Amino acid sequence: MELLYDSEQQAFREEVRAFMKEMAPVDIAAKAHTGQRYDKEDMKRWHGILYEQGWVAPKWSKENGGAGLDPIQVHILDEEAFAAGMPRLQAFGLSMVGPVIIHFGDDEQKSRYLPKILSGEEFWCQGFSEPGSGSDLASLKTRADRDGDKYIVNGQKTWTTQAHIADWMFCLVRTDWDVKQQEGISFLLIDMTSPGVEVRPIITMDGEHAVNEVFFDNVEVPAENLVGEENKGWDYAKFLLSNERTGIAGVGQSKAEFARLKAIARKEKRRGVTLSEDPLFKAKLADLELKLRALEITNLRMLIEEKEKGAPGPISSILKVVGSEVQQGIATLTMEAVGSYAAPYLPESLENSWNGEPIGPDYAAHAMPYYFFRRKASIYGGSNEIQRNIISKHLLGL
Amino acid sequence: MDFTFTEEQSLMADSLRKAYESDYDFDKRRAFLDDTATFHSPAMWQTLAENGFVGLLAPEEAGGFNGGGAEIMAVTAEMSRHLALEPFLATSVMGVRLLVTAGTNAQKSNILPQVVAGEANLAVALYEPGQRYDVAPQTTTTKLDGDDFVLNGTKAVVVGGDSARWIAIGAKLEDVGSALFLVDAGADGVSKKTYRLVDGRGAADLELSDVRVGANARMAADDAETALAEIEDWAVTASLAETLGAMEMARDLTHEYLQTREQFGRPIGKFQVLQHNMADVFSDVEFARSMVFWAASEVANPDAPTRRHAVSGAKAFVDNAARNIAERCIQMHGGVGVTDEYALTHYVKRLTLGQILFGDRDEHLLRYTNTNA
Ligand SMILES: Cc1cc2nc3c(=O)[nH]c(=O)nc-3n(C[C@H](O)[C@H](O)[C@H](O)COP(=O)(O)OP(=O)(O)OC[C@H]3O[C@@H](n4cnc5c(N)ncnc54)[C@H](O)[C@@H]3O)c2cc1C
Repeated sequence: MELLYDSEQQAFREEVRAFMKEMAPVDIAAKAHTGQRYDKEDMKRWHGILYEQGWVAPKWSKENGGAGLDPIQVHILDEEAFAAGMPRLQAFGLSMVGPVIIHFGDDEQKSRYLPKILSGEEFWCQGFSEPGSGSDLASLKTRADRDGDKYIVNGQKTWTTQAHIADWMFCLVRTDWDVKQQEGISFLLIDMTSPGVEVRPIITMDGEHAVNEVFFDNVEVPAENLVGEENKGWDYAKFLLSNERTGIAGVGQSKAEFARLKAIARKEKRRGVTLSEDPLFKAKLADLELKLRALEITNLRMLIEEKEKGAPGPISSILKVVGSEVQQGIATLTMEAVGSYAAPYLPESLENSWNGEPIGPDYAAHAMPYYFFRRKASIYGGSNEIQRNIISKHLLGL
Repeated sequence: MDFTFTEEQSLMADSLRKAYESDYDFDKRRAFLDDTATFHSPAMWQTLAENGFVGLLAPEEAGGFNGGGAEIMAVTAEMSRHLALEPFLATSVMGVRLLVTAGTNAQKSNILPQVVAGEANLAVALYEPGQRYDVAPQTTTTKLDGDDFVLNGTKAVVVGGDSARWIAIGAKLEDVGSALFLVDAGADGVSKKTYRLVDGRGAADLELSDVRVGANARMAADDAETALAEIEDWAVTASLAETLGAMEMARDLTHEYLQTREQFGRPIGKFQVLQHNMADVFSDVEFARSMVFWAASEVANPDAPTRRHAVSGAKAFVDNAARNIAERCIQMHGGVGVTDEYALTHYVKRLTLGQILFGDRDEHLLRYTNTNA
């Protein structure tokens, strides 16, 4: 047993850290301190820098243009990027549809889509959920009817994150209505500029426009945009979701956010004593830190297993549940630490375009929207109830 | 022992409900919310004044209702069910109570009638930047200059400070300790940064630079912190009743959603984990209600430690329930539960605001234990 990173891994971390120090843009990093929102330009800029370095798709094999790093190295890169205050890269292309195309796409699709995912030239969004099909995703009703060399798509997706800034959507559609639900679903790539695609914003309680409704009215999609085989889309979606879950523990991001929380606790005082020394608050911080530590070590255990045996399977659900609880715990304590100054509500002040006067300390405006924002962590990507169903059914046979 | 409201109290809540139901649905409220000039509905505020609500705590001779904790509980819970934005908490609870207990006769006879009539709003500045939930003035100071007092300092997150005509301000006063003033919000040297709180109500940060007030602005309180601590307890009690109203609505919305939303071919309320969560929400509301009764029945207790023990105990307990209810109700809704266009999130905002205004749970746990006999 050895809990420490070996010397090779340490050396890699040093390399990454040096890179971050040199290359992470200071203005983007500054946003992490105050919780300003990263915009599309920030994400593109950072994406471009990692692309130049060859690290933008750390998990992808070299032949597909990735870095071919092992899961531990990927994790190190992730931790260091968050510690440097950098935004999460767009997962929809790099971690979701990219691997699906690599595994199930044909050569033309690989050469058409992968380079632009890597370069960041094209943004993607995920069209899975529908108004009537959330947890019960397989019941989806958006239809694609084959008409010669194209599909005609009709229906509606919802909760589609970044649909308003995406160039492409990977979309689950029903192509067969006469078979078991899971067996009539196909995986289509849809150009968001196609006639008949309409995107409408959904504003969430944190004041942000990140999610959307997407309507399809007789949208023509070339048949060559079908990934893999018709009616096999559910298998690809399951493959994609299992990929999504390995990254879902969010250790790197939570460590960075916890560090920020501690910095706030060193500044805020109760009765003349900083919160980091206040017995009640200190105990809560310690509790959360231990949960984060347990998450980190468990995640490393699974990453090593992944390195040796491949994707971890349903056990990753325990990471999703606890990972989301840690994220939410950090946001909750951040709000508590800020105190009264979390009460003024100026989510617009988190956008680039804002030029009003701040209220309270510079980290205050972020606290409340962030607490609300984090509520979704236990809802999307399979809610925590669904994760627990998976654990009890697939791991425990109950 | 009696845990029902009197007929008069129930009638009050009923007439409030009617006023809000007829003029204040979710969409209309949205317009008030977007109105950055007032952050509330001036017309509704007038209606409240005309029906005697603004002067709920004022004595009858000032045109008030002479109410107490029970009336505050009935009225604020009902207003919260409608997500009311009107400055009742700041003016009618905190401001009027302070005028009644610490106003000079002149202040009472000049200002109280205007307030009760809805013509002038009040606010009480409790906190200062960096001092967390300590109501004792630290950075705001005053000096006698001739017959006048000159005030300097800053006040943080003054609820209702956006619309208040008069703001009560505590300041350190050499040799005496501290003093309390009722300051004209439009006086020279008073600058306000106004903003919306998370639930949409208005508030302000204040900066006082060489604000000169006459001796008649000083209130009849021996020291600022004792008077402000009492007002803070009234604010907590009213805020707890608001929390109760918001909890009930969040519970009802979720209860209904569990019966109408279907996944996997059945209403999600058929899934046992959601049934149990809903059962906990139901029970949390009832236990919280009991604790709000406790606070409401003790808030007027003249014995300060007894008052504080109950009010802080209730706050520490209810905050916990509020958080559990808010988070569970969102979770049971799935994605819909985080959207701005759905009423639930607005109740959640109020439930969350209640946890950090007027002292958080830790603060009140400490106060509760510190007042333990
Ligand atoms: C901010 C945000 C961003 C999102 N981004 C995307 C995106 O980009 N693309 C996309 O396709 N989707 C996205 N989603 C959708 C997300 O995946 C769904 O919200 C999620 O699958 C839950 O579905 P639902 O919202 O319809 O809730 P429902 O499925 O209606 O669930 C409601 C409640 O019932 C519970 N429940 C349901 N079934 C069961 C069961 N069998 N047992 C026990 N409890 C159950 C759930 O846990 C939840 O508590 C996003 C969601 C959010 C909130």
